[in-house]
Order: sequence, then structure tokens, then C-alpha cells
Amino acid sequence: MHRRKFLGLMGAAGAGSVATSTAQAAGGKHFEGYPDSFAVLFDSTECIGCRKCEKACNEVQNLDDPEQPFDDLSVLETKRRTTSDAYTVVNKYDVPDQSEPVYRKIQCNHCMEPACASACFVGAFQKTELGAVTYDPTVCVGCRYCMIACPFHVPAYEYDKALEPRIMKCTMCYEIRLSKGELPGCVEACPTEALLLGKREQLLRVARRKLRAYPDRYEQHIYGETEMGGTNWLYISGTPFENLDMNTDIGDTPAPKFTSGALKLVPGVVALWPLLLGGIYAISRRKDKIAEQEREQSVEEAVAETKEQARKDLEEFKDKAERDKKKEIEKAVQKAKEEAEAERKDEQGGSDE
Amino acid sequence: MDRKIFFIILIGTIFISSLIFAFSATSKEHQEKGAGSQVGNVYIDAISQNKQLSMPMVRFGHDMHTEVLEKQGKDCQTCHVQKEEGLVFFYERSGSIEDAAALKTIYHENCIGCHASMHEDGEASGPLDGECRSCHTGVSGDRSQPFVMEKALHYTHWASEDIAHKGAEKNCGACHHQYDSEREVLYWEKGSEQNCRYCHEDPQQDDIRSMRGAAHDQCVRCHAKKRDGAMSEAGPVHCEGCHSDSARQEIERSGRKLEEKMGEIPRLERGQPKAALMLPADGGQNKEATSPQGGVGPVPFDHRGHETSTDTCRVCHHKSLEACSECHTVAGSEKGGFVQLSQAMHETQSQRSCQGCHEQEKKAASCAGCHDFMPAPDQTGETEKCRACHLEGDQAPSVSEAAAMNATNRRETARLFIEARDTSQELYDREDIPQTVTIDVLANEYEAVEMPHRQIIQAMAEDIEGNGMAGYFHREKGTLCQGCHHNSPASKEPPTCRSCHGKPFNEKAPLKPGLQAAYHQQCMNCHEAMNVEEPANRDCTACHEKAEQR
Repeated sequence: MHRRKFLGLMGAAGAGSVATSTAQAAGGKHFEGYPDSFAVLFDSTECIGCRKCEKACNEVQNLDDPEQPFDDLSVLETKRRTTSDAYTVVNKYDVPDQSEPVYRKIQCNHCMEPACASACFVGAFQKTELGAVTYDPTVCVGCRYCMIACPFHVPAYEYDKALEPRIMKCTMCYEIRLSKGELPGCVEACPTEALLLGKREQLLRVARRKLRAYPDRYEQHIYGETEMGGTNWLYISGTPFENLDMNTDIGDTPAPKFTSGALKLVPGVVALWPLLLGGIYAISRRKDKIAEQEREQSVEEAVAETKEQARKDLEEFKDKAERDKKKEIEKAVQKAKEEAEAERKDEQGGSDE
Repeated sequence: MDRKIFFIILIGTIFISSLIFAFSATSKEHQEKGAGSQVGNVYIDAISQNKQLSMPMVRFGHDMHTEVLEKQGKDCQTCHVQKEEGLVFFYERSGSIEDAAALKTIYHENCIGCHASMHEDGEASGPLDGECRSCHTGVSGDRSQPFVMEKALHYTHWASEDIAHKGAEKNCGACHHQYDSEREVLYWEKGSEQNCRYCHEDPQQDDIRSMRGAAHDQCVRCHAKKRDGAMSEAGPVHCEGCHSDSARQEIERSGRKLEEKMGEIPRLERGQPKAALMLPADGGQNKEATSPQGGVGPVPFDHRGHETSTDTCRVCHHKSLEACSECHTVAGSEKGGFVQLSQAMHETQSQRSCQGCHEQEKKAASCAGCHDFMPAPDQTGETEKCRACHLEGDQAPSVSEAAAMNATNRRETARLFIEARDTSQELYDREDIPQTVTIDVLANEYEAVEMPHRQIIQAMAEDIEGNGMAGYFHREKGTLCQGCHHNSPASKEPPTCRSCHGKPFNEKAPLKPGLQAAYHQQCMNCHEAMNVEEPANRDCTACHEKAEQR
């Protein structure tokens, strides 16, 4: 096939696939979260930075003890992040216009539409109906795309394990407690109830009531209500969230939405491209076939023509030859006749004497 | 690596780093010289009136310059023009100039000129030609305090014999004035004094001088005159005298001293009532009230009492000294910015409204322990709280009755009601307040807590002793108890915490913490709000001993 023809066909195919993608995006629906999913509300004005939640977490999750014990509060002097041995950490922040430091608990925010799950190509992460984002190590291939995808930098990796290292992150105690109707370890351990577990909808109402009742105490915003499409861990604070190193410019779009447009094309590509390429192939094959047939036909015709000509020539030749032969025969016959005539005449004269 | 190349790089690095070090050292030295004090600076941006500044404004160490000039035996006229009425507080000019180029010339020629001549004489001088950024530094780290004419300081001015005004009883006319636009002169009219800022605004509005300009002209000129007249206690003429931290503290201190000496600072007299009967109706205090609104009773307002707790009338009378209802009518009017009378009195987000100011007052450490914990006032349906100010009952006049009274009668009625108020801060008898409360229901990981219950209450009561507002609004013996024993009526034996607070993380009552969290939240938040440093929030064993391992 000609190159230009091929490109022309490709262009047509491209236009077709664009049309399908817009149609799909228009029909794309924002996931509002499971209606009865649980969430945790963290109130930084009640947190005293005692690290009891960290301790409880390690105990219920059977994580290794840290080098410095949990009652060593000097740990708070450095900013920490979650690790494979600490699903949750509390950090201390000195904020302007406040004499007392403010504490923030960091753990998986259990996004309503998790970036980790959308980045995972083996489907190791699952957003459960109870709100927790869980991880299945049996299918994990260790690519750590989830770690890059997470807007909150939460998943950690067992780098120190040679065999079958896992991604480690807060599970909201899904399997060991939440699904049995128990409180997550950290929540239960909080001595000031700075952490509250409840239905997400209910906690949003609680948070709003708190903000309304104490307008001077709180920033009038619930972090996690809309951030990244909403999370199942909510935060209220007496200081702007930026002061607590919380990313406030991540927007309200759920992470999967950023890739859904492109990813939605994948089934289309899988389904359509074999068809398309097969079609192109078939078309080009047919063309080739037709051309071949035509060629063969013309050859045949030519051969037939030649043969016919040869036959004609032969026949002509044969005719001629026959005619010549006849002529010859006739000639010979004539000659013979003449000779015979002459002989007969000779014989008649002699006998008359 | 090739040894030659290695050495070249090494020498290069040393050279460059030494250069950097040298530069940083010089620039640091330079900064220290140019920085000057954090108080006593004048920021020169005269050109910015009609031209965008191409350089940051100049930070001019005024106090530093006066000090140096005094040492050299020079006076203010080195820089300022002397006019008949006194010094002109513009630099090297007798009035305001708008021409940017001319201003630039004045400053550059005179400042740098003086510096240059000092430099030629071999003296230490300020920045010279070309050292632009040594003067044009912009504002940074300035710690000047705004000046507030405190009540006591105000009194020393209006009562001082040194600034007596034309035989008048008080010296009001020495500063306060009106402007006669026809004759273009300032004059004093007794009884018409107002807050300076009603006319003189910052930044300058219309043709009236800015507060900054007017105040410095008036105050410093007078102080300088008195000083030159060899008055022993003339007011400050340097920036630091009014605007430094130490000056502010000194003013406060001498104010307190004066108050102790006199018992009470005499109130400013401007024809204001001692007590006013405020009506939810249009019309000023001195006029017949029109369109009285029924429903809510009049409020006897202790005007005098409020004067003692404020320094300036402007705290409430933010635009003029008229009665609130002159501008803020019941329905709202353009004159009052469509802020209704009820809003002007009750808006909690405003610091000028009664309730807004009271909310603000409750943020003081002595109040915040309990009040921080209380939700923002809900102004609907809380009739009990309305009665704290609004009169009600058989003896109280109704709004229409009050509206029918003349001004004198109204004031008299208000006075009687205010005098009848009980502002004593009584507590229950000492023996009725449990000395200690043992909290042991939760003893588990930690032992029981022995809470010094009576000591805490006494400390709280001491903190608000003499606080008139608390005295008036804490109406019952048990009001103070309600700080912790909240959501229940005041009584000698209020419900204990565990009557309401029980199971932690109760999903049926998410706003009601469990018992443990209730204790922790209450105690810790109160300690934080009242700046009680011990026991610290996370010092668990300061309150309860750690239980022995069982």
C-alpha cells in the first residue's frame, strides 16, 4: 500500500477515537463516596501532641518499636513523615500569632477516589465501602507507583526487606478493627478525643457545628471535605492549614480524574485498534489480491492471445501448406494427366498403321 | 585526576570563597551602620503623592540626627524652617510641595550636601553621593508603637497650669479646635471638642491635614516651645519619647500612679450623661424618641462606668460624639451605613458594638479560661440573656413610657436602675465548695487525680476581682461554677462531669466527648487560655501518678 493512503486511513481512525473519548468524558460521573463510609475527624485545637495515637497504631498493627520510645516527646522537634514502621506520625508546628505549638497527625487520608489505587496497575489498592483504602500485598509487584501518585506522600516501602517487600500505610485498621465494629487504634487511644470516628456525612456536620459555635477558634474550612475530591480523614484547625505543612493547592479534583481521560481510551484502544489495524491490513490485502488477480488475468489474456495468434499462424501455415500441397498435387495430377494424355495420343497413332 | 588540574581548582575555590567572605563582611558592616534604631525613624516618601517611587522609601533616623546635631550645637532650624507659629515639620521647606523633581532636589542636595561637608571636615558622615541604597532601604523591622492619648495623660494635659488656655477652666482649647472656612482660621468653641480623628484622618482626606501631620505639628511644636520656655516637665520632642516601647510603658505607669493618687482620673466632660436610658427607637438621647418599638425593654447604660474602662470616646463613638441612634436607626439609614440600631448594639463581629466589645473583653486571660469554651452567642431565643441588659418587669418602664419621658427623667431613671445593680462577686460559702475532688472513675493506666477544687475556684475568683463587667454579668453565686459545670443551671450542687459525660467516642453524641476527653479538654484548654503553665499538657504524672504495672 502507498504511504499516503496509510496516513489518510490513520487520520480517519484518529478522528473516530477522539469522538469516542469526548462522549465518554461527558458521561463520566464524580464518585461521591460510599454513602455510609466511615471517616475520622482530626481537631488540631484539641491535639496535645502526646503520641498516644502513634503508640496505639504500632501496637495494633504489630509494627516494630521505634528507636526512641513513644513517651519521648523530643521526637516532635523534627518534622517526620510516615514510614514502613510508622503508619502515623504527629508533627509539631510553631505557628505565627500563637504562643502554644500546634500538632498535626499524619497518616493515610483515605481519599474517596484514591490516587494510589488509580496508579496501581495490578489493583492492589481497594477503596472499601467502610471508607478505608486497603492494600493487598499478594498482587503487588513493588513498582511503587502508588508512592509517587499519592498527593499526601503517605505510602512507604519496606526497603529493608530483601524478600517480598510491601507497601506500608494506614489501613484505618480496616481488617483488624473497623470491619469488626471497633475503633481504629489511634482513635481509641486519643485522650482528648481530638480524633473522632463516625460516618463521613455525620462528621462533616459535627465539624461545621464546631466551626459555627467557635468562629474565632477555628479556620473556617474543613480540610478533606473537597481536597483531592474529598478524603475520609477530615481536619479542622485553629491556624491556616498551610502553617501545618498541609498542601492547600492540590485542588478539588480527585486524582483518578487527571488520568481517567487518557485511561478511558485504553479499552477503546484495546478494542478498536485490532479492528482498525486488522481492517487496514484486510483492505491492503484485498487491494493486493485484486491487483494480483488483475495481473494474472492480463497475463492469461496475453498468453491466450499469443496462443491464438500462434494457432492462427499455424492454421494459416497449415492452410497454405495444404493449399500448396493441393496445388502441387494438382500440378502433379495435371502433369500426370498431361503426360498420360500425351502417352495416350502416342499409342493411338501407332496402332492405326 | 591530574594533579595540576586539582591544584588549580583548589586555589580557585579558596580565592573565590575568600572573595565572598570579604564581600559579606563589608556588607554586614555597612548594614549595621546604616540600619539605625528600630524606633525614631521617619520614612520619607513625599514623592509618592504624585509619582510612583522608583526606589524604596528612605528610612531617616530622625532621633539619630537630632542627637548628632545637638552635640554639634545645632538646633532644629538646621533642617526645618522657622515660621511665626513655630517650626514647619517639612524638611527644608515652608509648606507642602508636590513637584516630584523639586522634592528630589531638596532632599538630595541638602542631605548629601550636609553629609559631604561633614566628610570634607574629616568627620563621620552619613551616606554620600552614589550610595543610594544606604538611605533608600524601605521599611523593615520598625518597632515604633502607635501613640494613644491615654486617659491619665489626657488629664495631665487638660488640667496642667502650664498650658492654660486663655483663662478657661480647662485647657481643652489649647488643642481642640474648629475651622472657620470663611475666615480660614482655627478657633475653639467650648463644648464642641471631638476626637481629633473625626476630622484628621490617616491618610489625609480632602484638605484636612492627616492625623499624623496635625498631631506632630500640634504636639511637638508645643513641647518644643515649652522646653525652650524652660518648663521643667515639657513633653517629648523626640520620636522615642512617644513611640518607643519604653515610653509607652512609662506613660502607662505614670497613669496608674496618678490614678492611685487621685483615686479616679476625672472624666472628660463634654455634656455626656452619666447614665443613659437607651431605647430601641429612633431619635437621639436628647430628643423625643420617635417610633418606639415594642417587645424589648429599654437598656439603662452606665455611660460613666464605660468611660473608666476606655481611653478614648472613639472606642464606641467611632464617627462622631452623637448618640448611636442618630445614625443607626431602628430600620437602618444611609447616614448609619444601613447598620441597624440592633446590629450596632449586638453585632458580635464588630468591636464597636456592645456585644462585640464584650466578646472581645472576654478574650482576656482571666476570662478566657471559661469563656473560650463557650460557643459563640446565639442571639435567637435567649431571652434570659436579653434581660441581662434590657429592662423587664413591673417596675421597669416600657419603651413607650420611656420614650414619653424627657431627657432628664430618662437619665434619672437609668441612673436609678444602674445604682440598683448588684456588681458584687459573691461565691458560695467556703465550706460549701468542696476542697478537693477525687477523680478516680477512670483510674487505669494512671492513678486517681486529686483535684484542688476549691483552690482553682478561688484563683479564678481572684483573677476577676474588681472586674465590673464580670461583677455585673456573673449574676449568681454559682455563675463562676458554670464555667466548668456548664450546660446546667447554677446551683450549689451542680451535676458532676460524669452525669453527662460517659462512654468515649459515642457516635450518638459526637459533640459530647467521653468522660476522659471531657476532663482533658476542659482542664487543658482552660490552662492554656489562662496561661497556667503548670501542669503542662503532656506531663501526665503531674496530675495523676502512673499506675504500677499489674
